[in-house]
Amino acid sequence: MMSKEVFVSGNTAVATGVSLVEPGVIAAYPITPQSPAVEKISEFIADGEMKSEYIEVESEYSAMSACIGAEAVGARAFTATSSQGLALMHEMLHFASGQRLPIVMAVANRTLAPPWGILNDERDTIAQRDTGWLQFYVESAQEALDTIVQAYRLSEQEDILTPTMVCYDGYIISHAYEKVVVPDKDEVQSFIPEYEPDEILNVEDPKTLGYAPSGYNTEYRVKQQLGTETAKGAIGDITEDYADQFGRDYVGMVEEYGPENPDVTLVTLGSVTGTVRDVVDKLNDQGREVGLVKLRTLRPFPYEQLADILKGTGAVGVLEKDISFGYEGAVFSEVRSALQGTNNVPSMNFIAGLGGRDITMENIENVYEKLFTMAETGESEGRIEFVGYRFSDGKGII
Amino acid sequence: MKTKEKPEKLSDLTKTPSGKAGSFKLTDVSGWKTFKPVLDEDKCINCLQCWVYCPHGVIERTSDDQAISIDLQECKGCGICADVCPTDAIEMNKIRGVDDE
Repeated sequence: MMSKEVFVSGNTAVATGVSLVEPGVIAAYPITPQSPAVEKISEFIADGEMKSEYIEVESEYSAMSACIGAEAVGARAFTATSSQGLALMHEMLHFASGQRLPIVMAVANRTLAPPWGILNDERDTIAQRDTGWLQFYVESAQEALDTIVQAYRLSEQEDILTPTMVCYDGYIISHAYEKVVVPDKDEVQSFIPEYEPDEILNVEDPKTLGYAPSGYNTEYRVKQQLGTETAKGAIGDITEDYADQFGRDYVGMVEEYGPENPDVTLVTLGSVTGTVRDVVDKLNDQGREVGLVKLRTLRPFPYEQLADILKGTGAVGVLEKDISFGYEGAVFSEVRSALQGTNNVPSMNFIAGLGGRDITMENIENVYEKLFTMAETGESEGRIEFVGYRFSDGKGII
Repeated sequence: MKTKEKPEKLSDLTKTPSGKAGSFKLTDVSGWKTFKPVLDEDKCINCLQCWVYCPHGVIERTSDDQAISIDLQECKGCGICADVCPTDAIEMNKIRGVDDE
């Protein structure tokens, strides 16, 4: 078998990525817009294309619990969810990462209610930033498939042992059809080493999981932090190996796009990166030096690279689909903290796409215009702008 | 908290927070109690009610079947043994200091 090209939705691409890895256990509960992904997986299993055990559960809390149980006896596990389902999993997300179980989960990003909505933003996964999971934000169906394969190798690496969320924007990626290259299954299997954890439940050598000798909580947390720090280097290596073997290079944790040393730079993540690329091309064709930084991982957070990339630019914008109420967009806070100590580059936060609001090329061109003004004057009109705010009362800029 | 085998560096810890089943055996829990049971062997009729009810299994049957003995290392001082004893052979005494454990 060789790689083949198919025309599929992002959800099918996710399911296909999982089928190539063929984890021992899938436990998932359907939720819009993730449902078609897990329905496709159950079809693959029913048709014998995938030899995995599909556990039907009654909630996302149970889905994550079943994955934890599966990994606790040494099986690979996969689940997928969105929004409210992810929120319901919250407690068990800590159990997965604290126990160092390398579960891989795909999340079709969807807004959190109320106001009720099924469309996309990234408030659901960004709210889970501190659960100890690694988080990738992908730009396309192809990247979703490829990142799932990479995620198993990353999470299971012995000095990392940390679960990974592969976040793909609901509808924009999950339901849009794209040409996707499906790699050869045997090649994928050879890319991921055998998963042979030794600290698992086993009747021959009874163990208790979740237990640490009293008084060593801090030391186990240090191990957890070191694991996620180790992931930084590993993501670079794995991405490079993947590019060598499969021909698609996702660079690592951050990707720069546009001219070298751009006058202004916009940092963003997820599917909107594709739209920003088009705007960057258009503006650069007009002779304006604008840059884009795609943040592929939020955890681990590539602050060293960001500081290095952004230190010479005239103004930095962060475009993100979330907000931490009472402060600002979480990604903005993190980017600014990465810039601490490098220089006083003016920066501004652009909150966009909440509840599925379209982010147009024109929106992004306006963002770049603002960045140019900031680069000239050295200051910004405000700290946070809600892109596409519909009223003319000026309250969309804070 | 005291442990019986002290790890000294990260590599002494398990990779994941896990341990051999019964890992509480590794922890010195003798200081967890406020009251300790004191047995009056003369009053003990070896009926084993305390042995049945002890939630931590620290009552031991003795070989001569004359009176029970209590493992104060693992006892949590809950006082159930004293409560169920039909002859009031067990008295719960407040521990006054570390040396009194």
